[in-house]
Amino acid sequence: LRILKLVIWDLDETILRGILEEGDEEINPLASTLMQQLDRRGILQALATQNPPERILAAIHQFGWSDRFVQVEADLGPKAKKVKRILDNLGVDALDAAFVDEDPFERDSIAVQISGMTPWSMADLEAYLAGDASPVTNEARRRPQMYREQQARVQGQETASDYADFLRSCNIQITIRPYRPEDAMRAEELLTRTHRMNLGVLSVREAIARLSQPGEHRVLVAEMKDVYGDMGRCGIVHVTPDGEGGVLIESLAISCRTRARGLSLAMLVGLLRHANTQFDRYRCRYVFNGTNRPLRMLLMGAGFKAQPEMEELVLDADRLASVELPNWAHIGYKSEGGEF
Amino acid sequence: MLSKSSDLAGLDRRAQVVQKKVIELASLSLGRDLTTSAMDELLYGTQTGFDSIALMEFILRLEEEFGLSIPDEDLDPDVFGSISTIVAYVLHRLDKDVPSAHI
Repeated sequence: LRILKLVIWDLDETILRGILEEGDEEINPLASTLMQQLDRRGILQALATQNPPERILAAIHQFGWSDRFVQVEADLGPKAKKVKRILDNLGVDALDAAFVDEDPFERDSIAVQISGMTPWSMADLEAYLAGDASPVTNEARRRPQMYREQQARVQGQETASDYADFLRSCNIQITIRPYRPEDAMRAEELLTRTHRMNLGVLSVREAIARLSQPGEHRVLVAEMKDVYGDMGRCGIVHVTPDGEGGVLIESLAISCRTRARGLSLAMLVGLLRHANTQFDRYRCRYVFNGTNRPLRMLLMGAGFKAQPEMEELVLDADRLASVELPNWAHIGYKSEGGEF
Repeated sequence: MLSKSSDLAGLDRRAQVVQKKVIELASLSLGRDLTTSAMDELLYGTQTGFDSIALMEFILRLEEEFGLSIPDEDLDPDVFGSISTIVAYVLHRLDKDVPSAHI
C-alpha cells in the first residue's frame, strides 16, 4: 500500500454481521465506526457485493448510505471483476486501495487476481487508521463529494453530442495565485499523493521544507472549479531563479482531478505564465518514479526540450508564450493583493 | 530533415506502411479518425490534439507496434508534433539504431 485513497468493502459478513439476502440486516458496529472514520478523512469508499442490484439499492436507501459509497458494484459475477471496475472507473491505482473482507479466502483471492491491491480484515483497517497521522485538508474532506461531482461530469459528457462543446459548457475556471502559509498541508498532500504528474526530484520532506525557507524562490498554487463543483487546490509549482535570467523548477505536482482533456496543460502553462514566474527560461530535471511518465508527456506538450549535456529539460519563454491552450478553460491570475 | 506529407507520397512502400500505422494508432489514442490530409496537423497544445495521458498511450502503442523503445531524450515537441514528424522519427529509428525493430 502506497497511500490509502480508497477502501472497497464487502457487504455480507463484513459490513453486515450476516447475509443480506437471508434477512440479516444488523450492521457490525466496528464496520460502522470504520466507515465514519474513513468519511472524516476523505478516504473514498466503494462497495463490491454479490447481492442483486435491486436488493442493494433498497439496502443503501434503508441504511442511509446514499452519500457513503462513491461506487457500488452488485452482481453475481466474480468479486475481482467488480473490484477492477471500481478501480478503473475511479482512476485509483491498486497500490492506493484496500479491499476489506472478513473472509480470508476472498482476501487471498483478490490479492492473487489484482496485483498491488491490499487485502485487509476490518482489524487490519482499524490498525492502519489508528497509526495514520496524515493531514486532512478541506480538499481531502471533500474528496468523496468531488468524486460524485466527477461522476456527474462523466454522465454529462456521455449525453453531450460533442466533447469540446460539453467542456465549454462546464465553465472551467483555473485560478493561479501565490502560495500562502495556510497552503502547507495541501501542498504536502499534493506532493505525497500525486504520482502521475509529480516531478519527484526532491523528497517530499525536502520539498516541503524548502517551501518555507527564505530566499528568492517562488511558489504558485492552482485552484480549479467548474459548474459541477470546486476541485480546490490541484496544482503547485516551486521555482528558484538561477541568476542568469532563468528559473529552476524544484517541485511540480498536478492532481489527477484535472483529467479532462487539456486541463493539466492549461494548469502547468498557467502556473508558469503567472507574473511571479515570468523568466526567460524554465529548467527542470525529470526523474522517472515508475508512474510519472504522463508528466514527461505534459512537459513535452508545454514545449520543454531535452538538453542531454545538462540532463535537464528546458523551455524558453517565447515557446511558453506560443502554447495554445484549450478555449474551455478560463485562467485567472491573482497576486498577493488581488486579481490582475 | 523531417519529411513532409508531400514527400511521403513518393516514398517506398515501407514508409507508407509506417505512415498508415502511425495514423491508425494516433486515431485510436485521439478517439477520432485522422486521415493523410492531417499529416502536418499539430497533435498537442491544440484544442483537438493529445492530452498527456493520450500521448503516453500513443507512444506506448508506437513502441509495441514497431518494437521500439523510445527513450525520454527523444520525447521532443518537434519530433512528436505531427504525424509527418512522427513517421520520420519512426523510419529513422527503424533504419539506424534498433536492430530488433520490426514492421
